[in-house]
Amino acid sequence: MIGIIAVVVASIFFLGVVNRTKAIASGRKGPGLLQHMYDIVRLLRKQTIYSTTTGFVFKIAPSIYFSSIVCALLVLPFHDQQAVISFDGDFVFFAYMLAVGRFFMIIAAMDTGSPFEGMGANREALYALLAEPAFFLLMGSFAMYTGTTSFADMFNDFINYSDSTSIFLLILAFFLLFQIMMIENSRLPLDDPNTHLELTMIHEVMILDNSAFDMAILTYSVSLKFAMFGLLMCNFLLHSGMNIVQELLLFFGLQFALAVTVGMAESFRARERMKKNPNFIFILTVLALILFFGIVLIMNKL
Amino acid sequence: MSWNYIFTLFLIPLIVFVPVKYKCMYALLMNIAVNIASGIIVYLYLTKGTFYSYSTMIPLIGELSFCVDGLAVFYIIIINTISLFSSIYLQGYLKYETDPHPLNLHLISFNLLQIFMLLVAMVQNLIPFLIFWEIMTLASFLVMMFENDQKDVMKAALYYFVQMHICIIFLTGGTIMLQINGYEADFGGLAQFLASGKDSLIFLIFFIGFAFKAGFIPLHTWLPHVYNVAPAHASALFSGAMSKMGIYGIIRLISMLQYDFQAYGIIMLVVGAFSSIYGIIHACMQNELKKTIAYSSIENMGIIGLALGLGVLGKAVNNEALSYLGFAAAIMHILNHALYKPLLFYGAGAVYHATGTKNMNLLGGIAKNMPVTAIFFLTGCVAISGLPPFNGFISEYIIYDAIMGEFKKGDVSIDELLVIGLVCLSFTGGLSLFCFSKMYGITFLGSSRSSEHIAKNEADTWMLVPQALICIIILCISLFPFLLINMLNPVIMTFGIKNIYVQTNTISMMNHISIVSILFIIITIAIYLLKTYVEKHNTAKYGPTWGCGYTAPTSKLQYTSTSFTQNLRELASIIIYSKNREKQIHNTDIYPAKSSYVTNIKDVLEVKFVTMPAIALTKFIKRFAVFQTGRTQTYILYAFAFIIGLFLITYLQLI
Repeated sequence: MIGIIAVVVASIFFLGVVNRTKAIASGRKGPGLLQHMYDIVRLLRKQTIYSTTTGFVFKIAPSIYFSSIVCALLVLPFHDQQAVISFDGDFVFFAYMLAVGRFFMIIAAMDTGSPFEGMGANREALYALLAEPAFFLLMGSFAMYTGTTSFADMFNDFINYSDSTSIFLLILAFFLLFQIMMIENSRLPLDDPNTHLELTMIHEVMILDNSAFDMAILTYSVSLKFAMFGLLMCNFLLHSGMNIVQELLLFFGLQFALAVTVGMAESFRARERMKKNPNFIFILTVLALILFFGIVLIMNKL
Repeated sequence: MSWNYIFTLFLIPLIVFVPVKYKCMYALLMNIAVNIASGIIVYLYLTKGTFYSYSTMIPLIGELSFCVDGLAVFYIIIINTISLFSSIYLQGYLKYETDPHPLNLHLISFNLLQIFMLLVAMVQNLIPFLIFWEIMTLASFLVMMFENDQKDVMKAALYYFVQMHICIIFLTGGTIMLQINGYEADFGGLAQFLASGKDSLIFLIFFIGFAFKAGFIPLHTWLPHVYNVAPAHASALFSGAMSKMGIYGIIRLISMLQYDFQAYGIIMLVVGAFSSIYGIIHACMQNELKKTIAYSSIENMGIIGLALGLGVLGKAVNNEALSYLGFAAAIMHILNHALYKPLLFYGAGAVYHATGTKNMNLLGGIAKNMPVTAIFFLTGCVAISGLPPFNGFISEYIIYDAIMGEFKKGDVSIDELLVIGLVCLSFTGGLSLFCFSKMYGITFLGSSRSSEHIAKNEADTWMLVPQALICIIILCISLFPFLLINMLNPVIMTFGIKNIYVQTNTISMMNHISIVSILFIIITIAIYLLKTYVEKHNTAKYGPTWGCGYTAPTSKLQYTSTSFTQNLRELASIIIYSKNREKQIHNTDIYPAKSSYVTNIKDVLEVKFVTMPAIALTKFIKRFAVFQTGRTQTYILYAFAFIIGLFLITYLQLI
């Protein structure tokens, strides 16, 4: 439970920190840390507008999307604080849960009958499918390294600060997870949420027709997803030598660092050209393969 | 045991005398009769356990005996359920058929197909097995030819006919090989032969024969054509049950295997993994609804093959957990696929029935006028994409668990293979999400892309009932998978696994999945209720879709199936022959002519393994066409020359 509460708290500030970083980097003062939360509250009070083309799929999709993220969150532990539900191979469930949400967002975008949203749906589907093997290879490598297949056991003292190989692995894994997080959230280098042209959007264009409550939960789920991946990464760093306060401090510190990194990346980097995105994601799979065989080597299996 | 069916076998042809209006009903009655007969067999199994029938001698054929074990009963249940659903469905699908003759042939062969599939699943002796197999193939050939006035139907039928007989050649060859080596031509003899470890070629021969039916690459080429043109209820039966008979054969082979587990495991794993990837990528590319579903059949067969390969590898490294999970996943996936694939075919058939086209690029917005079909179809799409909380996820999950579990303790020689499995499976998962979100989105959502193909009203009740039943079964399996795994244990035991620890472990996993699935549904409903509560205060408004500033959008602007796959098509150009013919309008054209864009997609393996050899063969044979002069005199000359030749040979004592 403590993990979920921590993630919710982190998610409230995450996008605020990102936006503030971007503002400072571009020489502006920037909005308050909670501005996007105010936006969400404002959205909740607004009247819903549906397109006449849409049907039941469009109405239920945002709810399913949000609940899929919540369910994915349920299987994530906070170090030795048990997850709500934990079982063998729960990371498969984690990944597939995110996929359920994506499936419904894709068909909801198609439901509007808008060519732009179809375009966004197509890109989201493609990039997500390309990123899938990387995540599973990463998790497979950890399963092999730790000899366990559930998040809870995998994170149990994963890191050994005196062992240089495990730190090296962790850096590679962090890089991969960070990129997967960026892909999942449709951020740079794949997609830029601040883009102005519908033709170049991915995620933003899919939710053009959502409004009010739906829009509010879709906006919030971006923050939630960020914080969730933050928790996933943080779990690798925690070990039983820490008490709960230290763990929480580490968690929020990491979330802050991630948010700043995302903000800095978005300030100083341009997005890739659409054509180059698949190559970029394939490289992640290759890196994950390197990680996998690296672990095979380390474990003296060869 | 076959005597149960003899009675119905005689009744089936009487359909000729039934008035056209009641023919379909008669076929359903026959189907129910067969179901009752099989029900007796299943009941006997449940009370007595595995049992054998007395073997009888039949002239010309030889010995005939049946055995009903867990696997056979599993198949009996699947075959009967799917054919019952199909028989209900065809009441609506063939409602407006008035011509009695094609209907007679179609319905007779439909019933025969069911009976002979059942016999194939039970028979023990190889010669009767081949005969039943052949009758099953011929019956399915007649079933699929229903709309035989269309050119592509005849072409696909011929394709099927030829390929299935290559399959029979392999199976017959295997049987002959068995007999030459002095073993009994039954499964017992085959088991002895495989146990003797003398010649492992026979396994491969049988495997290739069965792989034809199952549709593993590169032997899959008949499958998309056949499923595309056959009537929906037939396609459902073919994919749900008939092509699984190939898997049945492979499972029987595996259960007899004693040596060389590693080699065969690798073959199955690799063939399965590549079939799944290949199948799903081609499924993504198709513009025709039923062809998409057909190619995804190849994908699912690949996943089953992959799971079987894992099971065999588990035997190779003596890891019972891997074996159990691999085989359990395979059996589960057979069942799951036998549910959602017919569901999708029924839905696609209803769409075809209502709109008169299978081409997705002409469809759109069907969910508005066919909401019930749309919901059932959506269930099928989510389930087949392997997404929780539906049943497709459970079998894929077990495969992942098997792979990961082996990573824990396995040795490196297997790890490399498992990585292939893992990458292919996760990739397949992503691709099937792509494929089915596209298929559902293009067909059922948005607005209609052409004015001629609009669904006017909901499908017939007869067509909806089987879909509803399948959806209920799917939901039961999805929410309570642990019950199912208990029931399937006798089937998994066919492979000779006894480890209780693994079973209890799997069941506890299933329990957890069941809990999270239910939680997921509850949370979704809660959020949706919250939404309706929030929206109560300010009623929703309706308006046009945001056209990004463009004020006159038409439905033709929507993304089509072709445009949706454009970027994937470029990435997958290695295994797809895609030809674009494009005529663009240039700025210099003062009076531009009509522009066009045509995309033509071809199956690389089909071109390489079927079309090109066929063309080469035809070319070679055509050289002999000089002899065919068309004049009677020449032919008499040939006969004369032949007689003289024969005379000379005997005279000179050459033979």
